[in-house]
Amino acid sequence: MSREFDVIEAVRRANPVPPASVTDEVVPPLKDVLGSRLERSGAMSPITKERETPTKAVPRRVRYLGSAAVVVAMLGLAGSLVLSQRSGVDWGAVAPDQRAVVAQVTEAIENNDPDAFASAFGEGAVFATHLDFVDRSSCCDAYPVERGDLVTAWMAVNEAWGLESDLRSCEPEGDAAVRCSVRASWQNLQLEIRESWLFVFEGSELRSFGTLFDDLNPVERSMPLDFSGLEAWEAWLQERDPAEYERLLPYGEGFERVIDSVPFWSNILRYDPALATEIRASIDDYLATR
Amino acid sequence: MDGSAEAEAMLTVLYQEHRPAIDAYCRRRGVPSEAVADVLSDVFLTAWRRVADIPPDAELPWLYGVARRIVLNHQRSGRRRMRLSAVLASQPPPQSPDTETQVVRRAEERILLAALASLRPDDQEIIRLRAWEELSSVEIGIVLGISPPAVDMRLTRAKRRLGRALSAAGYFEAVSPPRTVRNGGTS
Repeated sequence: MSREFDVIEAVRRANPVPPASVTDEVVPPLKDVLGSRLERSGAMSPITKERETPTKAVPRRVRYLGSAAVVVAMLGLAGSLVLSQRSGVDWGAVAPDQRAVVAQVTEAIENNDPDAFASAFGEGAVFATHLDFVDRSSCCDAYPVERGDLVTAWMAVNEAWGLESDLRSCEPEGDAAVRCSVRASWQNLQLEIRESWLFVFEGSELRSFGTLFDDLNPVERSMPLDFSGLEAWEAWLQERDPAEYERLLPYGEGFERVIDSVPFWSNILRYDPALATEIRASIDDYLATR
Repeated sequence: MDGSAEAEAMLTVLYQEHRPAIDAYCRRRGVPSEAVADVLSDVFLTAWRRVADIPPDAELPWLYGVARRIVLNHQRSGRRRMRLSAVLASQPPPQSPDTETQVVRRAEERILLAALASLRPDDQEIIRLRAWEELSSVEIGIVLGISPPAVDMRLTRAKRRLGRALSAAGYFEAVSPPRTVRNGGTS
């Protein structure tokens, strides 16, 4: 039944101030609303940019990575992709059949659909994300796509942090790979970075999918924070409320989280997804003070 | 006319045209009547200061975006007590064909709004912008500062989550079939 239910129409019917009740209102003069504040404001002020000035410092969390070179190259922030954005993707010289596979994978990530994700790969294929699973059964921080529990756990983490990604462009890399430039944002962390998603093929069959960090502190972004900004929030919280800092951000080498009964360690964000709502509230408080 | 006078004239037009919509936006988000004037003042003072930022042909979504941030700040700071339930209690239902239908509808709306309120704030807002402000994806993108495809994706997810919340709340058992089953629904 819910499949046929028009949620928007139902919410529209529950509008506490319907549009019809708005249009007949008598509008008081502008100066009555602004009063003396308008006079005090004087001439127009220069445009105030609300973003902080990003820095290119390497984030502390990235420095925590064990086999840094390999891990940073293999891991990243995978997010759900804007499906319709693909029509605006610069596909460069990527072959049509590879485009289709890239589209299938990204659509599966968008929909948090482990089965659709797995079906895009050939047998024995692997994937690598920002998560490090404790019970991994293969080497090198890449995991069998057949491990549906791991794919599901990864997508649950994505869901908790509200990952969204815009695919910007794709290009062939060598004979067998496609590298795509992705704008990834984590809505519940108010964070935006740049990634590459790497698709490795064997013939027309997808053999692996992984993410790489391109720019952790992008200057141009739509979210308030880059990684430096996220660290600034941590510092703010530590100074303002040390006990809350310890509760929300318990750091330590090898610190494990669990989601859907799957233990993991996040190499890039060590926060507990179970605390996502509280962390979001704290970040919002921090942003309100800036 | 110098630049300042021109800007003031433009702002006056914007204000006359869009003030009711911003007023309604605030009330829909639970801003109590006595606080709406303060929020409106903040919104149009911001518009005055940043008049050069206002995109042509997208003034209202831009103003909604300003209003959204100001309302959020008010809510966060605790300076205002904004309770949607209070607003709902003070508002008559949009249509009331008869008393029985009105009572049923109010019960449905309470369940629906409670389910909506259980979603993450971002999900709530994108659904409200589409359903209550009746904005397009492009316009919602201007309000939220995201791309239209991102709007579509978030909206799809938010509708899915609201559908799940409604199911969990027993909404579909509470509503009468003729009003709830719609061919060609989008969720």
